[in-house]
Amino acid sequence: MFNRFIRLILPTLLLLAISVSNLNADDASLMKPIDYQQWIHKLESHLPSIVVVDMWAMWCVSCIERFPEMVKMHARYKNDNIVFASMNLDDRDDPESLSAANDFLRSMNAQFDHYRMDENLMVAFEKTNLIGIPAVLIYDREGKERYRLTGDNPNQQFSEDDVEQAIINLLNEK
Amino acid sequence: MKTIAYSFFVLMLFLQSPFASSGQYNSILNIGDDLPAFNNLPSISGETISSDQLDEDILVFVSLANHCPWVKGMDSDLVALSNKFNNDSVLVIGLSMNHREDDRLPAMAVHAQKVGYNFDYLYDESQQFGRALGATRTPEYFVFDKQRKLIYTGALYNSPAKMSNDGTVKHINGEPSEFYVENAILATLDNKQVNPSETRAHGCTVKYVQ
Repeated sequence: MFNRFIRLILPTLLLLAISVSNLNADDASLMKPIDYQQWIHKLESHLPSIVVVDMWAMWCVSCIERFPEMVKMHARYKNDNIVFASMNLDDRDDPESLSAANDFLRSMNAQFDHYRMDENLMVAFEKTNLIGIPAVLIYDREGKERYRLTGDNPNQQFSEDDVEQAIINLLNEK
Repeated sequence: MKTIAYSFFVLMLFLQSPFASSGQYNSILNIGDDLPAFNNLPSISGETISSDQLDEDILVFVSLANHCPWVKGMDSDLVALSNKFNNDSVLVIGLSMNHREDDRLPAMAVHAQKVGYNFDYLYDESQQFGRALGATRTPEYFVFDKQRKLIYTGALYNSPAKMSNDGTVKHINGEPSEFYVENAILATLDNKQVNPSETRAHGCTVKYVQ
């Protein structure tokens, strides 16, 4: 009887355990999938806070290099009623990249909200009107996009000082 | 009334000046703009190349970065493009601008050898030519005609490809169905209008020194 249990039931239990484990891993994803329309609503839900969004992806080396600065900036301004968020632009159909992105966020210990754009990658760039990343989008207290810091112009590349100055400018607007 | 007309005239002149020129996806160059001059850029071949020594009817510049997965994903199609027009007066030139060690000349030569680049691959260390092109992503294409006017800029085709760490290549939208650069070359060789003349290039960002 015991041998029969071992042969028949135990493998089933093991398979079940593996499935639950995978489910938990998926649930543990730090990045909430969100399509463009939901993202617009999400931004509106943060009114009247200033919102700072870091657009990034694992394939973007510059994004990875500057991300720690975003984490530091969040630490500096988290008590100023500013919402920080990251928006991942890896291919939604590329589980390897999404898994690596999750691992990266965990390693960064970034204590703010993380999303991934649940759109076809090229559609995501079109809808957000982005040409390239990294990009930092900053919204004022009325929800208006006031700063779009990008590398789109070779002669006007943004720096972390630009991001911080934009935040300070909006904080000074009463 | 005269003042208004004069102001309008001045505004129109300004809008048509080179300083006001920028494309839909390019903050520096627009379709119809001249090829920016470049001098003595070193190639992986060991030679240096200047813009005034190029006499082919069509020049195809492509910004590249060895480290970029979107370049690696497209490499074989770039080589195929260069091969396809081998017997025409079409010259493909690769361009690297980043200052990362793995994007500099020695690494460029290794990468070109590995993936079989069959064209000159130049290193623009000063980044002047890259800036003048308004090249901000890799890969990004710039096609100039015999008069050295920009006739196409943007992506190679409508489904960019990325190479994973294990070497597999995946196109975002499946197999490409619109071959923008190839079509631009064919149209120009056939004295026809290029359409589309500008698309959104997808890839890594070029890091310019400020």
